[in-house]
Amino acid sequence: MLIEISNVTKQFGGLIAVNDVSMDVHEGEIVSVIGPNGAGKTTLFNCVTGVYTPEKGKILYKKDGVVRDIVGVPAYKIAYLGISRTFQNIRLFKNMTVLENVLVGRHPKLRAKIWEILLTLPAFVAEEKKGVRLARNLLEFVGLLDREAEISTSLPYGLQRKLEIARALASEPKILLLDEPAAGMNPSETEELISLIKKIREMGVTIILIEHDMSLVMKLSERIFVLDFGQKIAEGSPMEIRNNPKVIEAYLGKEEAEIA
Amino acid sequence: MMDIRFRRRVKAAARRWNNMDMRLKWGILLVIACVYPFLASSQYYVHIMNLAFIYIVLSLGLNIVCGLAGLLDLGFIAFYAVGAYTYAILSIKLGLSFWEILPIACVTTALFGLLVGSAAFRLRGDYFAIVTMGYGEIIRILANNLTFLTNGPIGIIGIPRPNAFGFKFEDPSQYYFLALAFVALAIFLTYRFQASRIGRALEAIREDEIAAVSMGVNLKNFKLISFIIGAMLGGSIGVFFASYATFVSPESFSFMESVMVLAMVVIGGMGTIEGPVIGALILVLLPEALRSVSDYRMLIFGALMVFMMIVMPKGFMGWIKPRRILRTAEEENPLVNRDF
Amino acid sequence: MGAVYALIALGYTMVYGILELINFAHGEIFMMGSFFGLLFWWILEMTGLSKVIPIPLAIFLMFVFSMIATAFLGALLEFIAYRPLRSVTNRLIPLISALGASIFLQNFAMLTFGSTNRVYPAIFPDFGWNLFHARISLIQIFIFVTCILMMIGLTLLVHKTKLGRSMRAVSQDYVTASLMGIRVNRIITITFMIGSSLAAAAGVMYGMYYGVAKFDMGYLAGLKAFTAAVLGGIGNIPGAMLGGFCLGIIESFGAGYISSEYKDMFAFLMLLFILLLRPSGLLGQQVPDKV
Repeated sequence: MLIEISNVTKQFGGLIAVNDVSMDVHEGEIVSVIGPNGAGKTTLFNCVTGVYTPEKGKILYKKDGVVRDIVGVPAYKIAYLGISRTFQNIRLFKNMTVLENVLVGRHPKLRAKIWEILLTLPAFVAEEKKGVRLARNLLEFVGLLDREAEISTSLPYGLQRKLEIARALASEPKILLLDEPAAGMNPSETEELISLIKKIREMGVTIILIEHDMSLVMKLSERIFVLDFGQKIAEGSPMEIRNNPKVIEAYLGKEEAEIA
Repeated sequence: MMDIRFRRRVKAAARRWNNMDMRLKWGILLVIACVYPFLASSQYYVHIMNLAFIYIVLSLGLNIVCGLAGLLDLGFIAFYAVGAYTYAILSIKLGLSFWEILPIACVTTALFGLLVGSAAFRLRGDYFAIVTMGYGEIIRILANNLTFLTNGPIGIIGIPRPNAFGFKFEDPSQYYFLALAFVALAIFLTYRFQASRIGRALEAIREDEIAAVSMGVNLKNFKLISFIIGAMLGGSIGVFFASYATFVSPESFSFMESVMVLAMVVIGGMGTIEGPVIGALILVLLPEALRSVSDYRMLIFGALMVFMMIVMPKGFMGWIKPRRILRTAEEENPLVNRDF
Repeated sequence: MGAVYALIALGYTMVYGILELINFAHGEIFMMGSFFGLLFWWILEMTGLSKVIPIPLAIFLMFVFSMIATAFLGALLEFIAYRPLRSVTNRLIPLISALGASIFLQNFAMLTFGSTNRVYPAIFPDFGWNLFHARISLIQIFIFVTCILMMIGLTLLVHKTKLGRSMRAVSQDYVTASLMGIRVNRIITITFMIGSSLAAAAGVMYGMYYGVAKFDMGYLAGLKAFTAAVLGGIGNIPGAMLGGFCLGIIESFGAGYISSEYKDMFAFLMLLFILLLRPSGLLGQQVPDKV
């Protein structure tokens, strides 16, 4: 077990966005979280990454053999623990270049002290060089190397999503949370994305995915969790989910489900 | 309106300038700056340049807070004031020398920055800006009223001038190289920060706080770092100012001054290094150039500021830079591909 | 004085509410308003009308003239210094432009009206009552009542008329408002005009109260009014009124009981204190960040 979310509840005023949700993810898995809009998927991600603190529940995360509860850990520390993410509504650093975006993603791995930077000590230089090399490798990996010097927002939409993935990978994470990575992509871009995600898993990164594109979800995931109105209504393999009446009902509404 | 051909020529020259090697570029500027006092026809012109240098350092300091970290600081001049008063008080009351006070002033302003920053960062956006304006005013009012320390609105006169290796700084051209050293140091500092994890973290904060946090950037710490570095730059040049003018009074540190420094940063182009330098030069030298129309010069100056913002809303640097900035990692940080 | 701050603060708040822009030149608008009022009085004196018209009418006309003239000045300011920058995303840019406009106006006033105090006519009879230890003069009551009337008028305007509804719509989201057929540019201009004329009224009252007008009076008054606007929660109309009164009361108590030298500081200390306790001002709302 790499990460175990148990009985997490997050409320906004009277609205219960995530209600008593539990899920567990093993190392090396690709897991998807699906559900209609407003089901609480992104809120769940925000709880895991420390942007929100859930009112109830635990999020147990295993790192170097030690299991700890990461509820209440500030968001920036989560990145240091090896959990990295992308955003549903792309959040690139707009006025920075493609390469700089990836280098910011590298932040948790950089240790240079202020005086090392000011005095340009070899430790700082070596670290920068390594960082740039690694960032370029990642850009090559997602197919953006030739555009490293461009301002990030000048990229077309699909490439911006890929840049977000490269940025998230720069911290060498254990877990990568992808929030609707295929949104706004055309079918051929989605195909590329699928092979990209597979390659990332081969690198040893565990992937949790929120996605509406069912073909992508079905092709990639080993297990799927379905949320509806903040509650988990089903979990299982793609086959099980496809035939689960509750899921069909959540997506199509009750009456259509009966007809189907 | 601006002549199109003129604009194209400026842009072409700027592009050539941009493509030049960074060290060569600043080297040329340094040589020009070194020759200047020998060509200047009177001490007055050297004096004006010294003032410009002071403002360059101030705007570079504010640029770290405002341009890199994107925090609107409307009370930046307070740091300058703290530095200047530290020098004035310590040199007169305790008889310490310039070089002894400089590090002390850096520490005082850094502590002050820490104090103000840690309170103000609980607020966001415009409220943050307003609080910074508030502390700027409080420092000025304190300087006005803590008469036993600051001699109130009259100010402190007869501040000793600095010495170096038995050499006493007296007239503007002697101060000139000291000021130039401050400028060079400030530029170097900014360069170093910009191409490091600290500078990138600050820019990330400016662009998107939530994304920055998710990348592991500790917002509070890095905002404080930007504040402290900016404060130290402002404070150290404040020390220089006090020793140069040999006179400090609350009048030099009004809200308007903060806003002028901000205007320099914005007019030059925020977040760049050349920008604040150019902005400071424009805003210090322009009123001088308008001296011939003495009565109307501030009137024209105000109108020109509006005009400049309308013509080049991204500042001078944003105006001359090509839309797609094609800079490579090596240009940005020449260390990356150099072998050690 | 609180009432005057409140009137100026309203201008800041209204502009901020719609454009999310701190109108740095608003203090100068206030100053110009004061001078327009004075200018009108000079005209009356020169034509000899000042002896003919009854005093209340003269005062009334003074307000009307100054408010109209300043409203146009405000509209002009918006047109020249802000409208061309509407599409710019960086919010510092209009701020600097406003600063330029403010320098321009200040120097314009200095060149036309001189750099010394200009004496305001003492039209109001020096008349007052003693209440406990404080002395309340006629002019103070007049200022207070006028300010309250104007605020009531503004509140009615914003909440009960079609124009007010449009203004509120634009302040919520001006793209959507324009899609709903509201002429956004016109609303913005009108907002500037209303804000400016309130500032003008404040300027005239300030002039009458202190007996002088000066080219640099806009700076401190503007700063304090701005503080008042923030104190109440910027963008919020009742907030600005409350903030203005609070500031006036704090200042006079601070000056009276502690030390008048630190009078200006109380305003800012209070501001810092309130903002640290309630980061969005007294009546402001917390807006959470969307992820």
